[in-house]
Amino acid sequence: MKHPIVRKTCALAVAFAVTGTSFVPAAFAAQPATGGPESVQDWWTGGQNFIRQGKQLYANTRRAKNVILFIGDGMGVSTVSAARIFDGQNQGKKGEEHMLSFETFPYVALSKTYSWDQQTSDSAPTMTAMVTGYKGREGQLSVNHTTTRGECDAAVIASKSLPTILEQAAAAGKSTGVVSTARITHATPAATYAHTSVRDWEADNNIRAFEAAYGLPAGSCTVKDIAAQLIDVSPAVRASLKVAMGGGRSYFYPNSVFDPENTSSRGVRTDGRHLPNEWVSTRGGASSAKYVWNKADFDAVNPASTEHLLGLFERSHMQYEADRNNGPTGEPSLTAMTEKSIQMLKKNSNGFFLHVEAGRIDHAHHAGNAKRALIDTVEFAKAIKKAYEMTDPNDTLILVSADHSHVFTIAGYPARGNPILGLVKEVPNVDGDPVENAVDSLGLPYTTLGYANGPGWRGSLPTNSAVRPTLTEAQTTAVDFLQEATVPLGSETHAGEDVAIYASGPKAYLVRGVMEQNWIYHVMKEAFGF
Amino acid sequence: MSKNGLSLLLFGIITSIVNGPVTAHDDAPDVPSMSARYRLEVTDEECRTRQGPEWWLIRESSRVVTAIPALDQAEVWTRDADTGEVTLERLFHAQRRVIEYTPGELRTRNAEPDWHALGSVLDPDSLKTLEATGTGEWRGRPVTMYRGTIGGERIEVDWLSVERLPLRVDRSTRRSRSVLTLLALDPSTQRASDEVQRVTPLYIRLDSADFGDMESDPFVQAVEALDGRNRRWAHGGGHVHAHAAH
Ligand SMILES: [Zn+2]
Repeated sequence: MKHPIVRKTCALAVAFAVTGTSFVPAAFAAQPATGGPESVQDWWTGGQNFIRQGKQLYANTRRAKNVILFIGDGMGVSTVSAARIFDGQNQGKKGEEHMLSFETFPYVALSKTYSWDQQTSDSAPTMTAMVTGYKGREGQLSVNHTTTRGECDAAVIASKSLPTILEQAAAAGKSTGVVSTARITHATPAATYAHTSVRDWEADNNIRAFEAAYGLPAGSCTVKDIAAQLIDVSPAVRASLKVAMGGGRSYFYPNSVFDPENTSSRGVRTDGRHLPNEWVSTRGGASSAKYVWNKADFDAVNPASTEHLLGLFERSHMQYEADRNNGPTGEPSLTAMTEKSIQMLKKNSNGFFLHVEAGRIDHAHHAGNAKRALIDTVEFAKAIKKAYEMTDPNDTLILVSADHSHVFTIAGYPARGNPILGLVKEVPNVDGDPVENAVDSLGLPYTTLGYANGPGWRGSLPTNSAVRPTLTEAQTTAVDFLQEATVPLGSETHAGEDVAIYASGPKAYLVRGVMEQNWIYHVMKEAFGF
Repeated sequence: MSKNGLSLLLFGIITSIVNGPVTAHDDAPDVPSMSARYRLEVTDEECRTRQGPEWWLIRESSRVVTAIPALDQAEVWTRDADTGEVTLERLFHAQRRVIEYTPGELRTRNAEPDWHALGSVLDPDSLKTLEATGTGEWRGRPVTMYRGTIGGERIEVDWLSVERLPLRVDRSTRRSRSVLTLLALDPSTQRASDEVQRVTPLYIRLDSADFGDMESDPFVQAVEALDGRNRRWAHGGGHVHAHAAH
């Protein structure tokens, strides 16, 4: 709790100044150094507007023609709050009053992210929960929780597989799409189309290495790797899956073939399969199916004449938005990929299911690098705004959530409008005094944003005799700055608290209260009317 | 290159990651391709001297490889000729694993190297802060001797000025002394490269960005523990050299 104000000027209390009809000590008559632009009336008006809008809400009980599931990987509530302030401040506002696009959605709930076997989960069981309706095991994708760790028999995996909302949408004649800034074979996007007991089996070489490590005969594991599963989907999904875009190119190329962009690197597949070529050849050939790997080719894709689009823009994950090359040889933004996807999917009068993941919020947090996480979150919000604008909220259910949180905190008592990436500066005790850095018990400044653990720990820096460094505003707002962490870990970790669900469209009213994460699937299923 | 301006790039990523980004040397001259073998000796305050494993440097125009053959580990730094962006692969042959660091990941980890320092074992610019005390010759190659003090350490560097590599680096404090000595120099890089870069298709390739989601992987745990120890040693100044002697 903040300590009570110490009236440093009490000795001057006999000096009065006239302010309106009140007598105010002169020392307290100065303008506050911080504060928002709002008038007193604005607070009341805002609250009344909120009530009026709420009264106008009605439960949209229609079936959803389309469902879009947006997942910010690792986008906990603190990430959303910090990104909101960051985005607002970049627009010249104080920041706190700002709203990211999806924060204006009418329905919000909390999602409990534990999995069958984890208190704090990874992306595999959490996305499994959201797209199948069942909580699963750590590291497993869209199989039930009775699946043995490392199970590699294709028949057993088939018997344990849980149908996903994407597969059910395909069976219902809808178009489908998967987009991510992570590898398209990474856990979150992969859970929509793949079934496996090990999320790391993204290419066949990983399965071969597993066999070698556990003394299994080469080729004895019959389950397909995740990249191959994307190509070898059921006939219904093959016809339905119009768009798959993200990173992970090396998992789709044989190890005999050089990468088209990083020409000194090859693919990793040992089975000789060239999956991008197979994507094109098994989906109607070059006249209807396309494979692109750079922004120029992506931009050139005509959604009207393209039936199936595979985009693999990096060998591994796509770049952070902060680092993205927007030139012809670079890669598209998440917003651009979302827009192109919806253009293609909207061609189906039966509707569509689309999953869009901002996959790298998670990675930036793991690196202890808040600024990249926030920039990716802001880009995620832009993609959602684009999707909302391109669809009809009366027939399109848009859900926005996260798979899990991170140990990312917004700390101290920074004054209104304090730069979210900066050092904490508190409201001064006396109006008119300037804001100054708050200091810890060692007399050192500290940042608003920080992590409970991770690589930002600086306890052993020899440059300071204290246990913490003396930070400057210039350092902490730089894109490469790693926020301080309490516990030194090579990678910052996920966190176990709930994440938010934001909903708009048909059946969005079903998103309410504190929900189990797997209930998100049930909302989508209900909305589709399956 | 480091807080004290003259860090030995004994382990490439280790020293680079922990010391943070440094300024580029775009005006630095091209250096000749070379493979070099070094050995480090460390003497502690109780006058015990330990000899570290051989440490190799393989330098080409767009690639710098550092390796410790005894540990079966190597680091391959590659610079894109067009963009100047640097990528890193850490090779762990015993575990048949390769860890890849993209340019963005190196930036995110504050681990972008100074390319010229990387290929010269130490930052050539840091020599400017030392006094040139004489010249000499090693196997027909000109040598310049530098002496001075940086960050409380007494430094002596015998510098091969054409090859832009140290022949000897002697660093000492009141508590310890480390001497890095060049054992052999070869203008050909092929043989050394073949020896330390023997990656087969069955090696598992890991993206370092995935480490946060692989905390239960024993290999990732071991690498992160190793990097954590090295970070502590590096932040402790000369302690990184003590590690090299283990
Ligand atoms: Zn993660």
